[in-house]
Amino acid sequence: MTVLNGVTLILDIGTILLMVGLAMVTDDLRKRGRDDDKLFFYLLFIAMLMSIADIIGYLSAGKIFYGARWQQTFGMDIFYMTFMLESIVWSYYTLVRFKWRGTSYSGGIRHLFFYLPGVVIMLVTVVNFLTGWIFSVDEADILHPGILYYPMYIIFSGYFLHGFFVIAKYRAVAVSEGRKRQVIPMWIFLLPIALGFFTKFLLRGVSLAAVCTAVTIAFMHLGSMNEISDTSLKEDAI
Amino acid sequence: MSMINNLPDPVLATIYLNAITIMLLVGILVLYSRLQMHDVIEKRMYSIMVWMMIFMSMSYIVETCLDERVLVLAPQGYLIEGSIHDIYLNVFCLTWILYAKYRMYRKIDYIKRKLLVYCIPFLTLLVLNLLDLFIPVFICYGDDGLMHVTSIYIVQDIIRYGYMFNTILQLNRVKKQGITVRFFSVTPLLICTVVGLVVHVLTPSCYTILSLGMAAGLTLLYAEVANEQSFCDIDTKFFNRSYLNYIFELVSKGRYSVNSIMSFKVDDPGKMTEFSELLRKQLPSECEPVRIMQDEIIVLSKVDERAPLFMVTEDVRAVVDEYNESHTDSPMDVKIGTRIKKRKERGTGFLLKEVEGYL
Repeated sequence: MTVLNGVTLILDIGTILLMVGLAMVTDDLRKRGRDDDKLFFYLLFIAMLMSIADIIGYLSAGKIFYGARWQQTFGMDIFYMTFMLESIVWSYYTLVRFKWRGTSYSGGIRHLFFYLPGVVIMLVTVVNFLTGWIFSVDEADILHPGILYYPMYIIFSGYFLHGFFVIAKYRAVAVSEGRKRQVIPMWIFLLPIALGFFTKFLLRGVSLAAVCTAVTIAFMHLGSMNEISDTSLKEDAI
Repeated sequence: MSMINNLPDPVLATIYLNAITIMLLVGILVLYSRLQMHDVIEKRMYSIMVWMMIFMSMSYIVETCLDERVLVLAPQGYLIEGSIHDIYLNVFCLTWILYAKYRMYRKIDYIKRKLLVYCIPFLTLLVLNLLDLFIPVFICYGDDGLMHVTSIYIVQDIIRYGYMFNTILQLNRVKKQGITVRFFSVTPLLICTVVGLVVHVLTPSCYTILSLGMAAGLTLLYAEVANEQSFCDIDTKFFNRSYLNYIFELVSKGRYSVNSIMSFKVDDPGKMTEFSELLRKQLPSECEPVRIMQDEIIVLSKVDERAPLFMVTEDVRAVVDEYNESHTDSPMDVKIGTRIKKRKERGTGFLLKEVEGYL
């Protein structure tokens, strides 16, 4: 294993630890049985799956044992599938969590169409090791993008951006109502994801997707708790 | 970009890991500064720990660059870097100990009284860290042009990590005794720090694991503090109104039941802290005390019979009388009321009806 593969492994284990910790911390809140709490738990769980798939992919990269390439491709397929699922759940979570005026999260058919491309890409990633439509890995361990590789990035970037748009809108409404301190600064969300994409495309070696997603989820939770804390102080007037 | 890509793998790996750590910590720092906390001292201590961790991560990058000869300094430069790194870590551990002790007792006077006891080992270490610049105590400059640790460096590690883990365990034990800190636990911090430290010890060449583990631990500690901050009242150490809303949600979904409510109204809101101490000792463990007004506490209970409720209220009345006998100059007047759910009252109706008058 190279040093950089080791770093990926460490970051993925760190991601799993952080997500398990957050799941423990939010245990009491989940008992409320709210939809947004359930979706938040799914976000944590999917981030863990992403890290596990990443670990499988990296551990089998460049290995010569029987089935290593299949295992690597399978690990990467699961990774891309979970990444797409994470972006869909993130987008839906923001709709449910930040119900700003004029927005309804129970959009029914409208949302079905909105999330359809993502679901299709997820299904394609499941069978990618047979078709190679998303990517394929050759004998020299080099990844070759398939016909749907770049559309996949565009679609899941779209879902992530949609989530940010919902939060930005919520923030704008909150600021106009004089609740500026309660809501989370946008750059707190954008920085980790931007850093993840930047390193993925421009630098060699490690995949920061899982850890950057985990950091964003952690910030999301902490921002929400700040909001509750601020509200509770004002309501109590104690 | 090509310059970064041409760096040796260990340097690149350290930069990656520390970039993530610093990003996480800067985000935490910004969010934490926006958290509305009752306790400014606790907030400052936590912020110092996060700053120290940020400086440590920066120091790890410089250290790896020196080790891989990407950056070359004079021998004094190596020693200064090593000493500063140790000073950051020692200040972090000392701040953690003070933070944990403060959380246990919530009294700044106690910390001031014991400050010297906690500080002496760390002040000694800090003096030795400064001496490192002139005499090889913990670190030295080797013939190979690199910095090395001496054989007694382990003593420093044992002192700082020993103290740190001891206080984490103490805090874990203390928090289990209080009913109000149900939303606060140091276990996630403990797990992350232990994993970070174990990996750090097993793979000494990979410096950054410890700071990454501690950064994750500090993140989870913040989450715990935010939980507690959101649902607990700092004066009485009882739950607050947000917690009552939380209970409403649980009851409405059939996940929790409230069968009786006791209410305690104190004439002087300034006596609430003292009264809460008296009340805490009389309440059975399954009761949920909530401070809903400046001068009023309600206790939610699953008890559905009048006799046990009556016994609790009588006990409270007795301790209040006892208090008044010993504080004749400033007695407290407490009005006590109880209400039991009737058979036909189902769902949240009972709780709503009883509490809506206060909210």
